Parts: sequence; structure tokens; C-alpha cells
Amino acid sequence: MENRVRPTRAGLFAIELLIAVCVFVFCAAVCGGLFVRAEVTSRDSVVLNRAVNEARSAAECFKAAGGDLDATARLLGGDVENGVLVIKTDEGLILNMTSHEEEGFTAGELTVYYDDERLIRWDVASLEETP
Amino acid sequence: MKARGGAGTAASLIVACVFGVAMLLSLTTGAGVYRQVQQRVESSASERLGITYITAKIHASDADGAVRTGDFGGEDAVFLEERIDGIAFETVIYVHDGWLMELFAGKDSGMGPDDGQQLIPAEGLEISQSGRLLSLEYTDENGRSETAYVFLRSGG
Repeated sequence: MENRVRPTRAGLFAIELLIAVCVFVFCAAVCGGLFVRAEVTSRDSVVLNRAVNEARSAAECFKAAGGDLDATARLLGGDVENGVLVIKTDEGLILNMTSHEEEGFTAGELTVYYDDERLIRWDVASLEETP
Repeated sequence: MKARGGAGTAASLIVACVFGVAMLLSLTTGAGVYRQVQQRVESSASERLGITYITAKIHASDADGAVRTGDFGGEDAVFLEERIDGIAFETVIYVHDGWLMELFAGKDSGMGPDDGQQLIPAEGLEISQSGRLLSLEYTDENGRSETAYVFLRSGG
């Protein structure tokens, strides 16, 4: 018992500091994760907004064209390949649109992709006659 | 013992300095990320707010003969007509003097672009119509353009 080492002030301070550093590292890791998620979420949100705007415009043109993909392509500037209208935007979005005849109207399916991930899938319909 | 105490103090000081630097770095990084996110959100909002507002107003007023496009004091404009107690009123949406503006007044009231209400900063709005399809090219305050199409279900 007489050989017991007495802790110095500096040693106690160092231990206290190490505990503080550990707490700080934990908090920094949590905050770092949150920052990264915030960054990713805000980027995704911008892309999703653009995708919705593009999809909405494409749907309006589909209706204006009476459900005809070639006419829709002329309005939006895309190409029809194997019955699928493909539109590529400057922001890297890819819109695909297909159409088929239903009883009394033309139905279509509109999908928007970004980085091979499907962001939007809408069913669209045109009750109009082809102009 | 003195030498051990000195080494301990030096180690504590080094750890304290590393702690301080790490805290500053994490604060700076956090502030940077927050600023980026904030800028992106603001820019995205200003980009979509104007065009979304205009298209929503057109859809809401899409009745037979209620929507038309034309010139309003030298600016491209959308005119949305409605009748209240048998009196014709018009909502005019246009961009003037760096603002997206809206004017609600009696039809043929003689009011000009300066009389409207400022909504959000904007640079320009170009409108063209092909049959029942309206094409709106909106330029926001940062100069970014976006085109939206609106199909008039009622026929305009």
C-alpha cells in the first residue's frame, strides 16, 4: 500500500481531457453523419424537383398531342425508339414514355430516371383526339 | 518525478491543442456544409417557385375562355379572367422590372405593369401558345431558365 503511485495534477488533467476528447469525437461523428445526410438530401431534393417539373411538362405535352408519342417527341425534343419516347435533359435526367390504347382514351406510362435510379413513375392519359 | 510531471503536462497540452484544432475544423466543415445546403435550397426554391406558381394559377383558372396570353405593357403575360357578381375581372401574371408580378383588376381597367403586386424576384417570362398548349419560359433571379408546358383542358 505504501508503494501506491499518487496521481499527479497533470495526469488527472490528461485523463479528464481524454474523456472530453472521446465525447467530442463521438459528437463530431454524429454531426458529420448528419451533415453528409443533409448534403445528400438537399441534392436529391433538387434533382427530384427538376424531375417533377420535367415529368409534369411531358405529361402536359402528351395530353396536348392526344397521346401520340411522335407528336409528343416533336414538342419536347426527344426520340421515339421501339415505341418508347426517350428524352434526355441537360441535368442528366432520362424520361421514358410509352403509350397504349384503352377503351375511349390513350393511356401512357411516364418514368423518370437519374443515375439509373427510378425517381418517378406516373400513369398518364389523354382523352383528346390526336390533332 | 519533476521530469515525469513535465512530460505529462506537455502531453496534456498537446492533446488540448489537437482537441482545439479538431473542434475548429469540425465547426468550419459544419458551417461550410450548412452554407452549401442553404444556398442549394434557396436556389432550388427560386428556380421552381415562380414557374410552379404560374402553372398552378393557370390550372386553377382553366375554364372555357378564361385563359389567354398576350402583351401587357410590352411584357409577355398570362390573363386569367373570372366573373364576380356579373363583373369581369382579370388576373394578369407577368415579369416586370426584375419581379414576377400579379395584377388583379377589372377587365379593361387601364392599369399598367407598374400597378401590379411584386411576388418574387425574376428576370423574364416568355410565353408562346400553340393551340391549347402554352409554353412558359421562366428565368429566375439567378438567370436560370426553365420551360414548362401547360395544356388547357378547357380549350382556353
